[in-house]
Amino acid sequence: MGLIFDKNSTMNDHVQACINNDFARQATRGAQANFNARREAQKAAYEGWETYRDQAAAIRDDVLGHLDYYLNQFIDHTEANGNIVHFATDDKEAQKILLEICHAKGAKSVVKSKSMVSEEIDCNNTLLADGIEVNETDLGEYMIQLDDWNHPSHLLMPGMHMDIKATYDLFVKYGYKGAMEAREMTLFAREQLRHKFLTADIGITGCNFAIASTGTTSIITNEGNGRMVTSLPETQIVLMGMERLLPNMEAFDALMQTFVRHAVGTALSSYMSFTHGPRSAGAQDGPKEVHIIIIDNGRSKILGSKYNKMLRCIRCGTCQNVCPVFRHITGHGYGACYQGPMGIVYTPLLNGFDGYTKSMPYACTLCGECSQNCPVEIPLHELILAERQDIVEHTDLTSTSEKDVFVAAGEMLGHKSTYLAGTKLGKPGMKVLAALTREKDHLGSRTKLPVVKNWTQSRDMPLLHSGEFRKWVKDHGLEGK
Amino acid sequence: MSTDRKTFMARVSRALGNDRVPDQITPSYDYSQGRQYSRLQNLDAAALREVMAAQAPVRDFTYYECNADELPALLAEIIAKEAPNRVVVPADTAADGIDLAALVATSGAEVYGYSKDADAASQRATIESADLGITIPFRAIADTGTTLEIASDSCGKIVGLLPTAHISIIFQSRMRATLTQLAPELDELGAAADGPSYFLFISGPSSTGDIESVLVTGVHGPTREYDIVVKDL
Repeated sequence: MGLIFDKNSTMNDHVQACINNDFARQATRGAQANFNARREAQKAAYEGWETYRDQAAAIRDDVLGHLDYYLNQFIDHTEANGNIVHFATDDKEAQKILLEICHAKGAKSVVKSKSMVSEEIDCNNTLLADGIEVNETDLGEYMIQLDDWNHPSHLLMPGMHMDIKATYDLFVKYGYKGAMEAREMTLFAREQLRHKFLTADIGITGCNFAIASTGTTSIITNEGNGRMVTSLPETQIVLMGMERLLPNMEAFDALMQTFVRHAVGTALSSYMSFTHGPRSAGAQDGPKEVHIIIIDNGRSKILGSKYNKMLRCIRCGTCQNVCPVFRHITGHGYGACYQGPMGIVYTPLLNGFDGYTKSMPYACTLCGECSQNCPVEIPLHELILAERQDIVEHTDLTSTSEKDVFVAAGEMLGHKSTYLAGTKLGKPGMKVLAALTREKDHLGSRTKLPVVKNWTQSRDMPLLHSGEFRKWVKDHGLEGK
Repeated sequence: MSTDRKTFMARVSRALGNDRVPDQITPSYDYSQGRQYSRLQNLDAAALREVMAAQAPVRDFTYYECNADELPALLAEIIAKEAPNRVVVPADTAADGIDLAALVATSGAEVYGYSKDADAASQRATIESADLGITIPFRAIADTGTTLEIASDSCGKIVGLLPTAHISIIFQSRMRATLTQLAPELDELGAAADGPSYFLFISGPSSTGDIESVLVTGVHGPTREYDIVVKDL
């Protein structure tokens, strides 16, 4: 798990499993519509919407362009505040540091607020395998934890694939006796998790933004779970992607003109918690120790590259809400923790192109809705196209049969006589090929012909028409029109 | 052996084409030029309250305003409505110029005063089982109906967090129009050697839409929020 659910599978496996799941598709479509309506209402009411997007993009570019300076400044200040900073080059190192802290504190249980970077480094399985009890406290994350540690299906709404009935059935399995009603079910989760908050040894959070000038980390939530996790346990661990910085609170304010409005369609979330350092001497609330694990895990390969703009991402989920492909294959269809347009750009960049991730940039129609709506103006569809170009350029066409097919096609299409002969032989030839694979009027997925099979694996190829287009035009009196 | 700071930072610098971390930079964006700096400028006290009050239905909190001499009666009214088993207040509000524990006591409710010297486990249990907590925020933002709490010896972090309902008593003098207008002060507060370990913005009660996008108020934080603006404090 971690970045990609199962590397032994293919993305097509996940798409096939999800595209036929009417239940999840309907739930996803409804949630997307709700997010979009709320965002559009904000857009209509908040003057200067596009100006604030320009500003947010410029601020993120400033941070990325000077990331070594801002990161260094953050580390200086946060250490001066009394926080302990760790550095993880990759997910394995982040896991190792996480366990070392847990062991040093003798931790038996942790409470977590929702964090995508924790998914990326496979935090939960790491802790569970070590015998540490993990409690997800965001309601959506709690729902999928009860669902046998299923994966999140959206950046902000991890249980987007579940409707109320699915959640109700799960809650009943865990002792819920109330009605199938959202308010009562939410109260059940509150009661179940309250004791966990009060008794956990360690609180684990992500980091929405870190403030370089003061060494402060922040968590933004509506449910108050982030507030509980940063207020009650004696030790706090902050998992922080190395690009999550802003220069100061003025820059934070500038980002807040767009972030929450795009994410959930309100001006601000209910809670924005800022941890400056461990609790002061003599105080009894809040962590005695704050550990910050700064994680690279492939980000430095993106920094300064032609994909640099991807690091502007602030994880608002807007690109997932507007994406037509996401609507049909749902979050789980991507088979990776980062999904939708941001996921198909980001995952191959973090992971590198391999048998799994090479498919991801193709889960896109290049409609551009994601780029149009991104609050930090990431040109997502352009980056997707660039990834496709990279894949093609680096694909080694060493298969002799494939090369032969292209050479033969070049010869045939390059000369008038062979081209005309080809158009005449096209239909009968294809008919023979179709018959060989027990198809009648098209070439289908059983076709093994090199090159052609790349097409027919995912769509049918109809037989060529027997007549010529020019003749058809002439016969219909359309010549010259 | 874990990656050390030097190795980690060298990789970041290399990606940017720097041979070392620069000592200083010129930011490529002027943070003071944003459109947000022209919003809600020069509002007087009444206008600020009007903006704050307009946020109550949006953020789902209950808004009141009163003068200091009307505060006891107003608190008694809200307490009667909530009918709490216990009301939790900060240890000492003398620095704020009011005796909150005494004010609440006039309502006849049981009052528990937070103490940093109390037994931590039993104090936490007492506050966790209380129905109502009252705090006096450090600042408020009218634009978004937001209060700003900071961790302190007299209030800790749990007085306004664990009880089911929460009242914020907002002094008019502490109210600002926008987060933009408050941000420079927060930068100073964060940079101060004796600054708070934690600060928190609250904009209405806790809420979620995680079950089929149905908005529910009251998840892990308080279920009901009351904001009282005291006009002459």
